[in-house]
Amino acid sequence: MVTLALLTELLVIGLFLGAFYGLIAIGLSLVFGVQNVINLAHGEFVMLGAYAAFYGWALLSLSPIVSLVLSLPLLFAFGVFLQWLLLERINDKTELASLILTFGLALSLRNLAQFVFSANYRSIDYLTESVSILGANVSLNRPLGFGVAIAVAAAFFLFLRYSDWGKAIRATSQNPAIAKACGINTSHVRMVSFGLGAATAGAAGGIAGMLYTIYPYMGLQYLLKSFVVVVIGGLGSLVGAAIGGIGFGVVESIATYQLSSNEATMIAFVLLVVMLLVRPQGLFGRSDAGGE
Amino acid sequence: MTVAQDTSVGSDRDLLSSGQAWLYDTIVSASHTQFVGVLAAIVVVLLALPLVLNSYLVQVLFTVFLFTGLAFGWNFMSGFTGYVDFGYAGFIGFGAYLTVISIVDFGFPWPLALLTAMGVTALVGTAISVPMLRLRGAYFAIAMLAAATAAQLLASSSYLRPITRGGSGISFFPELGLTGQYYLALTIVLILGYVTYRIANAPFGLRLLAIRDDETLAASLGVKTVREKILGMLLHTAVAGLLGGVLAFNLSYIDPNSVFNIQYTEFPIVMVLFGGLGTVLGPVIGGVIFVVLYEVLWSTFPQAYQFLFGAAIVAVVLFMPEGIVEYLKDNEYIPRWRSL
Amino acid sequence: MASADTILDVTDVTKRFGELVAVDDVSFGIERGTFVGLIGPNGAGKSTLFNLITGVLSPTSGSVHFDGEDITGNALRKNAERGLVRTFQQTRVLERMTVRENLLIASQLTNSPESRAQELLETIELADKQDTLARDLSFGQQKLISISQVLMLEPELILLDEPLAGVNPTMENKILEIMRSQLERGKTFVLVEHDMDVVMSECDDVVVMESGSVLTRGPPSTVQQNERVLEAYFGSDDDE
Repeated sequence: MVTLALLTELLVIGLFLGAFYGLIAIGLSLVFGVQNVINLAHGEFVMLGAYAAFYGWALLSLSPIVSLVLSLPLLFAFGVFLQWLLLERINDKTELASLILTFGLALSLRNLAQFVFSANYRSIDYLTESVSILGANVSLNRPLGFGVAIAVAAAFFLFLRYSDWGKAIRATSQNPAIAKACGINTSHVRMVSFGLGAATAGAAGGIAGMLYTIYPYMGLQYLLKSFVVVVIGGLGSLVGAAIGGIGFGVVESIATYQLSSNEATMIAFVLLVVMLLVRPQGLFGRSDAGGE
Repeated sequence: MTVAQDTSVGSDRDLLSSGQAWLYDTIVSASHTQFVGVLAAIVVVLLALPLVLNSYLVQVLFTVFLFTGLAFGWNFMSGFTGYVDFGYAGFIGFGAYLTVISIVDFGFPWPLALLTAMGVTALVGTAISVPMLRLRGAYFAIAMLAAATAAQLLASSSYLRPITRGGSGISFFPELGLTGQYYLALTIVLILGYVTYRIANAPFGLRLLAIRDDETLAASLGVKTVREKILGMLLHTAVAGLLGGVLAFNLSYIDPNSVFNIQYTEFPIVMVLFGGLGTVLGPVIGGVIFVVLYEVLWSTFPQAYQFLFGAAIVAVVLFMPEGIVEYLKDNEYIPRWRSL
Repeated sequence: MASADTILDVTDVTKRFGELVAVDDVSFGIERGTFVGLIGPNGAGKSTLFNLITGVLSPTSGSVHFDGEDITGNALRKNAERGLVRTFQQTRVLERMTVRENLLIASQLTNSPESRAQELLETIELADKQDTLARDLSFGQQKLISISQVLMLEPELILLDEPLAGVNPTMENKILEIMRSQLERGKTFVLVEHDMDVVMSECDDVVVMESGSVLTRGPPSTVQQNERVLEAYFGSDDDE
């Protein structure tokens, strides 16, 4: 029986979840928008962020939020490094090349993590006291995670909107050739945007570390889910990714309650396929997607 | 049959090292009989191996054949047309389930079970994939990955439990022992190799490759791209269905996580990537190198082998993006024949 | 201008991309066996018009008739099967395939593809390079290949998008020779070109486009004198 209280609770949970997914999705979408690369290793940045939060917690007793602040620049630098080392070299190659490269990268990072961190499940026990929000009983770390997601996403959007780098990134996103002709160093732009993607994913990872179980292969599920979000929102559209994320969170929350988590995920993928067939550019995406 | 002298820009055969030229010349001057002879010798050796090797090695070779077969199957579509299927495991798992269910619930003899799995996977798999063939590169890849993941979730869904037994999986007794499976897999691989060889040299193969090179141009030149893609997809999915069943025999127990495992997508992709997309030898060379590399890395660095693997994929994309066979052809180690 | 000998009839074709009107209510007919030049400054909509005729794009409104049949919005492939072919502004060949394979790929409609391919290979003087990969050839040679590809289909109407761009005079002559011999067999050509000397000396008929519409149309001598054409092209004192 679906009462208003239940619906509110599901919505609240969904909203929190959605902000989290949205944060992951905007990084993926940005990289695609700038260099037409679908980063199959995006989930691994989430995983790395989660581990950073974990070790900050376990070794230094740092709150995940503090760890996040420290790991963001590290992940950003890592992203820049990877772009410089690997992706720049295949910049002019086919989409398949970048798909497989990032796929190999994902495989490497995942297994490197397993090697370094071991496959044991970890978790962070932080702010797990229950709190009531709009009638929903959630642990305190959830609204905190929500807050962090919103904060990071806001910083991200503001950066893109108002900073010089942000403008350069948007210009390159729209038309790399012209951006280059205007004197923008598109190579640097790609590096910075990939770094941003890694950083935002890492921030989401910090949140994930706080809320969920941490293990080396955790990134894969987030990759797949953020695909759904990004495709429905529109590859290349950041607004679409953000809104899509929230929508996805709400739907997943309700579907998980009604059916089960398996079915909910399956529905998500079926939706993905349907969206790709009906409107490949998603709700807000560019119309050069899909088809011929 | 000798190939015309290559007079393209940048080639000067006199400057080739003697090693390079030797291989090239040997292949070019070999007669048809000699090729067949070499092939026959290899086949005879492979046929005799189970008689002398211990079961661990037979199992390893079985795995080589299985994955090489999957590489051929993946190659038919993704290697030739360039439509990269990131969800191959979905068809394989589907075929595995079909095979086992038809044996356990319907009492099919194993050959019939395999044929059924092959046929149904081909039809259903292609039907589902056809709408997605309208999508470009990366979108198609993602769509297939999503579909495969959905298939896996479907298999573990509680709603389909009566048929699939959900997460508990199905245990059964395969009529075929390890040796039987070995010979079955070997036969299938040889057939697939031959089919690839025939396709590569036929107008059909050329049309598939044209789709990969420039689909719009091919269409503007009268190539029925939709039809060709469907045909490629039929071959692709049929192989997956068939080998999914063979895999099931080998495992004798199937469950969603084992037969839909992403490695059944990853490995064929890497093999064909290593070996050479859209070539005949690609899946074989890629397959052999892959397994050898895998075993060596696994035994030498039991902890880090998968990481090295991922690194190897990255390296191949950076340095030999078209695969080994193309690299050899470009540098004239082997002639640029469609047969290779 | 629909007579029995009109091979292509473009009627009121318009193409909008959101706010932008790329092709604005364009109408004209092309007679069989003629050599028509389609000229105009950059951005006039010439390539877009080609795309609309050949099926790469669908018109927002209007229709295209080929040999009496309505082909509006038909796919590239279908048009190729009917005998309407085109080359592309950015020269496209199948790079990873040999010259010979590049021609043979267009064998869907020919009865004896091998001999036809051999014939064309000899015409373009690449018979000795037939097993070379297309990507290893010069730009001009690739242009020859793309023209030969469409000729493999034994088409009636051939639309060439800037076939002479960036090509040296010898190659240019070769291409023109190929076109002339096809014209002698009754084929029809429509050319988008910027090389005014060629257009004015070779074409029977010239259509001038500007900003999406047809500015004027007529034989080269007339068009050359037309003030508006001169203005459209040579706003200042540039000599093309």
